[in-house]
Amino acid sequence: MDDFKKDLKLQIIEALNLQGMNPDDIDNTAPLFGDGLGLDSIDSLELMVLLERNYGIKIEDAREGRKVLESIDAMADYIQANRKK
Amino acid sequence: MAETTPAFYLVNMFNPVYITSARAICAQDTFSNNNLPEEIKVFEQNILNYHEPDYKQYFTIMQLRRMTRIIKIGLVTAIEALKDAKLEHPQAIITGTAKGSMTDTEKFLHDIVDFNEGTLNPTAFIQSTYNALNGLIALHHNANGYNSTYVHRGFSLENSLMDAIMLFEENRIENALIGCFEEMTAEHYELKKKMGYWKNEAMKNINLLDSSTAGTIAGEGTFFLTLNKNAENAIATLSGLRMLYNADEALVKITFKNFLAEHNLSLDEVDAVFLSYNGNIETRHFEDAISQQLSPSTNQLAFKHLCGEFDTAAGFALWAATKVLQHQTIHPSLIFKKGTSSTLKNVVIYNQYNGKEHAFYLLEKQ
Repeated sequence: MDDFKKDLKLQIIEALNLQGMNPDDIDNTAPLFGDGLGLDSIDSLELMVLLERNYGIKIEDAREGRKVLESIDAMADYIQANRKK
Repeated sequence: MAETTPAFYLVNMFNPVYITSARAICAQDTFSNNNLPEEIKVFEQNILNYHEPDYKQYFTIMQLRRMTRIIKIGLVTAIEALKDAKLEHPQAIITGTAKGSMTDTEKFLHDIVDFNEGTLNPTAFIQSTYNALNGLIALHHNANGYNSTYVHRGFSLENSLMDAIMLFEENRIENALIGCFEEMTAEHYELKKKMGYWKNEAMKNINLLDSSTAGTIAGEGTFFLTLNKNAENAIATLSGLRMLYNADEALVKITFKNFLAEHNLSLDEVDAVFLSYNGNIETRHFEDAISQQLSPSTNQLAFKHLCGEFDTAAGFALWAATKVLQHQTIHPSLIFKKGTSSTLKNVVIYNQYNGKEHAFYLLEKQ
């Protein structure tokens, strides 16, 4: 699971062009939005695209999306449980 | 098309507007000192790419990560133009661009194909829209006023200026930020190459004006200036602007004469003329038509060997003309044919893009 989370972080860094950042800079439990990593609403759309393209997961319910994208831990758990590829 | 589409021109008589600052980012280092550099950059190939500034002085890493090249360049140019004019909240932001962010447009279009019209990245789509830069400038400067982007190919800059001038005439604004921006990508270069825009042979930019073959060299550039209704703190005056579409050489010639007459200027009173020579043997007869009737006193200047050709390259001439009038000197790299005039009061710009869109500007010393 740790390797999977590291891969996921690398995908996020690339998708959101988080220049100069590496996986160790992102806390698995910290919020991705607001005070944590400081992502915004456009980033959330980019992460939705990442989930669909890389894992075949389509999130259509905004409330579900908010939960899934809460932290690296939440994303990793959701992907493992729902991935189609 | 040239035979069936009638030529037309717009008579644009207006009260002068005052230029209070002008900024440029292009293939030459025009940004560091807001003037042409002592040493002109020589390009061996047919694309003159941007000399980019250090963005980290302007934006945090979190801001930079979402901005593509033309957005960063445009925003930095606008920031400095506003800073020079000591104008924090422009009452209007009006730009012109023929293609906007090509990088984002290409990415978005490729994604549509690659992902079979499925889920697409929002960032590339947002930034591929022509008015994305205007929106960012407005957000950055908390400017809630008039905001518009003109996408009119070779007339994009001229239309943005005309819009500002009309707003001034109607007393709707006192100041405005005007600009144009264009970028060239490898893919766009190849597409235009197939259309015959560029030279087949590699051409050094410094040899461009001596070329005797068809086609030109590609460039890119972003130019911003602030306009004011009042003359206070002005560095130059924009007194005339004329657009002429799909004209032949004879009409270009007559229009130039009429343009000067409308502003009560004789040929002898024109101190410098910027001519849009771009090394294309097939269109140079337009510039020749102007050049041949000029007085020996007039300094004939060229600029596309410095910035390359693109739809809004007139922005370079507009910026350079402002610098000529502001500093009362002509950079040696601009001189095409030196004139005897020792004063620099009236400067005309003649620009044609691809033989279709012709524009005349008149600038005066403030």
